[in-house]
Amino acid sequence: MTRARQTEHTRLNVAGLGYSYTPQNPVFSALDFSVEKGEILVLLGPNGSGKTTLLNCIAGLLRPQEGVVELDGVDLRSLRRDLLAQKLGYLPQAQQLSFDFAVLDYVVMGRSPYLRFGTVPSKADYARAWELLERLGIAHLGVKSCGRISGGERQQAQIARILMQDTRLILMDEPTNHLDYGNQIRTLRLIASLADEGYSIVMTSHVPDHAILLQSSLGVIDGKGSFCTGAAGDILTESLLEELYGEHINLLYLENCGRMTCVPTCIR
Amino acid sequence: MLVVLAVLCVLAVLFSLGVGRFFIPPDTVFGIIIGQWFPVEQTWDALAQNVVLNTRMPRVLGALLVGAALSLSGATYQGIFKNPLVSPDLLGVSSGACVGASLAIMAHTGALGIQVAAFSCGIVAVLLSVAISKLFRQDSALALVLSGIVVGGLFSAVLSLCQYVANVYEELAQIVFWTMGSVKFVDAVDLWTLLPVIVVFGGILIALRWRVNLLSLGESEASTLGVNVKLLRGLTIVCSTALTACAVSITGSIGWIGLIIPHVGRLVVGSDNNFLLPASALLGGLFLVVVDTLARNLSSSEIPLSIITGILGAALFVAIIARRRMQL
Repeated sequence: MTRARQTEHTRLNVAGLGYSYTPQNPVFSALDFSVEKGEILVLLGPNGSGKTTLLNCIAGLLRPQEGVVELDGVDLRSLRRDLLAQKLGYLPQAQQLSFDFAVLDYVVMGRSPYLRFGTVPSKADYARAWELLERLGIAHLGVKSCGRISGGERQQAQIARILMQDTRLILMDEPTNHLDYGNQIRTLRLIASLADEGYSIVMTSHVPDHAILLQSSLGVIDGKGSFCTGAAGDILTESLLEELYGEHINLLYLENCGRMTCVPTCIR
Repeated sequence: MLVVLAVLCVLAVLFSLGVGRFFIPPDTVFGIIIGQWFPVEQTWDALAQNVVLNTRMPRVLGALLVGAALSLSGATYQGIFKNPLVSPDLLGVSSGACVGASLAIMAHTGALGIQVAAFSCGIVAVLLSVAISKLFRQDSALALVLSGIVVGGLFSAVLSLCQYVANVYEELAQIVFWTMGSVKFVDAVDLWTLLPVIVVFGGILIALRWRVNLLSLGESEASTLGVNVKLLRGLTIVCSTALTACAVSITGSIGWIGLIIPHVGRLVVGSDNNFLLPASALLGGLFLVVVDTLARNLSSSEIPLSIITGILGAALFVAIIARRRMQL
């Protein structure tokens, strides 16, 4: 009985969430949504609308003033940091490393929530890191230093580090940012395959097509305090896009690809 | 690699114990030390034994321990403040210790008083840095760095004031000598105070060495990896500060070691603090033993350590930057 009930828990449940940096200007308030096992939620919204703030609240980096965030039915606030890190991995936007760690050493850091204070990673942990590098097709980078690899390779190393955490929920802040077109597509494919394995993923994006390509759920923050969610196919409309970005964007059906796409009209 | 460094340290100590106005070959030095515990045929006279064990041993071991302590805390500071240009003086511990020592010198308290005053003022300076950083209402490493600069500046000014009002003939020379560092006056008692501090706090840092990697990713990434950043950063700062304050209170402030040795360590073992922290400790000990050997043999009178570490350090730093094309 109890086991059955446990599996029924929603992986991520956000209820009545509100956050403000200054009391007068809430970034968002009364925000509700949930993400199930194997579900991808793409967060869309203009610059400064609070997408990253929302991810930071879910990751426990910021303390929301209102509402609750539940992971597998457990209130985030009642979780210790290391236990939280066993449930939730966070891929932040590209960041500069201060020291040249070898890629393998970097990836193995993902093991930290499982290591007792005062211990160092075991041989098995390093072996696991190699496996993940192989899985992502970057095993040849293992001994290279993080400062000497490309942005796309760095991001794959970061994803490997998050997979080391063995979480079930992954937050990604603009995972396709700074990547070339091929790497963007490959990253989306990786995200889709992680979801197929049962990972739940919340990611932010500036490209509405990502939600269509991933056939994901969509969360829209408009920066004026309103939020709506639903399947991408249901809520993505031309009027929503115009309202979000202040430009007219055409939502077209591509015969060749068998999917919708968002394109602006000619610029000149 | 760590084993090689450890062996080099032992060799440097043996060599350093023999070098001086009264030269004793390293194998004789080895015999004298081993002879303390094991029956060895005595091929040396009592004078040699006295020079090695009583005159040179405390200062050589002092140099080893102080060098190790300063480098270990320097490497830790660089990791936790994710900044390769940081040294253990960052939060003002050295300038605080200098002020403490100066005040004690001017009050004519004697050697023990100087040590106690230097240690406590060093700690007070760091506490002040931490307190000021709270005023920034932001719990970040940058706030700490900024307040460290403020406190360092403040204590430098107080040090200048001390030097300005000090008695030129006795006190001033002693203050200046102290601020340039020397292991000349290290005795057995100093060693026995230094050793437990280094074992305890150095041991904690070595045990936490891998976690310093996590802190060097930055606060929020470390948090998402399950690190209690406040606790870990606080603990490592306490340990590094205690190491530095204790080392400095015994030998006076010695510049450059805490900044430069971790970089040498990165050349030798890489950036992974798993290896870097122990390697830095060994390299620092080795370096200071060598520097002290130079300090007492280059000229007929003692040269303060900071002068040699400054010259060697500048040359080393340029060499490292050229070698690694470090992105500053």
